[in-house]
Amino acid sequence: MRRRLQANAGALTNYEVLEFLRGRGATSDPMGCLGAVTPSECKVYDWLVQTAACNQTKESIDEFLNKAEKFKLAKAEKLNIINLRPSNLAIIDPIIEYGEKRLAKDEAKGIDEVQELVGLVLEVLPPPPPRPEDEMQGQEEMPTEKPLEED
Amino acid sequence: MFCLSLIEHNLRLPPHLLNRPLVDAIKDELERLYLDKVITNLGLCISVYDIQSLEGGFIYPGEGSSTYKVVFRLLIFRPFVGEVICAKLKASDATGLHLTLGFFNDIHVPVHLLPKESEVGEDGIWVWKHEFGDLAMDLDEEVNVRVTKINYPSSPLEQDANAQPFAPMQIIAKFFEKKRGKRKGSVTLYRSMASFGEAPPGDLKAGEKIFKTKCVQCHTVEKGAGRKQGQQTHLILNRSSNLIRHAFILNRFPTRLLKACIFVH
Repeated sequence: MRRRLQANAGALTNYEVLEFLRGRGATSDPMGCLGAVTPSECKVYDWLVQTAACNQTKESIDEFLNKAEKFKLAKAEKLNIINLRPSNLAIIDPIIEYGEKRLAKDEAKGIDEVQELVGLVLEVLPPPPPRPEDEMQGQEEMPTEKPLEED
Repeated sequence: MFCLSLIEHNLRLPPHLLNRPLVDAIKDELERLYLDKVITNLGLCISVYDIQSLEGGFIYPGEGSSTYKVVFRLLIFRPFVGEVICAKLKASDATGLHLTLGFFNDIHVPVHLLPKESEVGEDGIWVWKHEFGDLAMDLDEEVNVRVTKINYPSSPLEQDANAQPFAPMQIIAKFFEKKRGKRKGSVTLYRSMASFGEAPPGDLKAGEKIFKTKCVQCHTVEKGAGRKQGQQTHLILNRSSNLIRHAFILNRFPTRLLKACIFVH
């Protein structure tokens, strides 16, 4: 009855899945997507909208891929970075296997490729949408005195 | 975490769909059969991506409907082994952590894949006791985990009345800690704080050392100096008699934990 011809016919970034669902008619409003998409697809859409994929564009992903050529990352690693949008060293560390050997770090010469990669991610890929709880927390902890660093 | 799979299916089109355009009817029937279902060793089917070819349309003897051979692509949720995903903590007990992605609930971090220095409390919440303090893995927090394996257990023949609902696809993931070796994860100082007042009192030497080795690459302390790297940081200055306490609180960390590096000048 059913035969799988190709179990893996291509990986998709979260952004591509989001675009596909948007093209089908999914929206954040659950009533709105009743006719166009099924409730299960709506759940996937709701989750994707909270991730970094929500603000990404094709151009930003292409730019990231071009500029990340020099790091010689595996396809899976690039996919993971685009999906997760790691904003610092701690998150990017587990994504890259054998990072110490593959990406040069020489403090004497001032080369730190992992830091460069993080910088590239922050520069090229747009940040995820802000979460409502984080914004409220940020407002509560704002002191009366002037903060030293501007945001 | 999503991929496409090419499937060939001999689809029997029910007669009540004969009044609809053929492609729409086939798509609806495929969605009814596949969507939100798990195929063993393939993953969870999210959506019918496209229909590549359609042939046949024969009516076999004894049947009242035509059968088509459809080749189509399905959008499948199947994270690859080694992928890092960001999931929310849904439940926590003595067997480990249970995480959810909203549309997928069966991500499990078993006890042996938690950090070694973790302990479970009486309420089932795990606490990671590492060198810089304790980190409680509270519910509804987001954690980054790495996928180690995907299990597709077969349906049970019998089930207890109050057993957990059967999960046809289970993702086993690992809660990673910092790697050993020269390059240390610079953000190992996690502390979940609801307010600044809850922060522990500062230790002068330790705090300065931490700041100078880890934080200084991204943050500066001098008044008026620009920010080097990193976004959404707030430097909070709190003067108290002769002491100046600098607390760096990183907002909007993907795991929604706050990093507090407190030292006393």
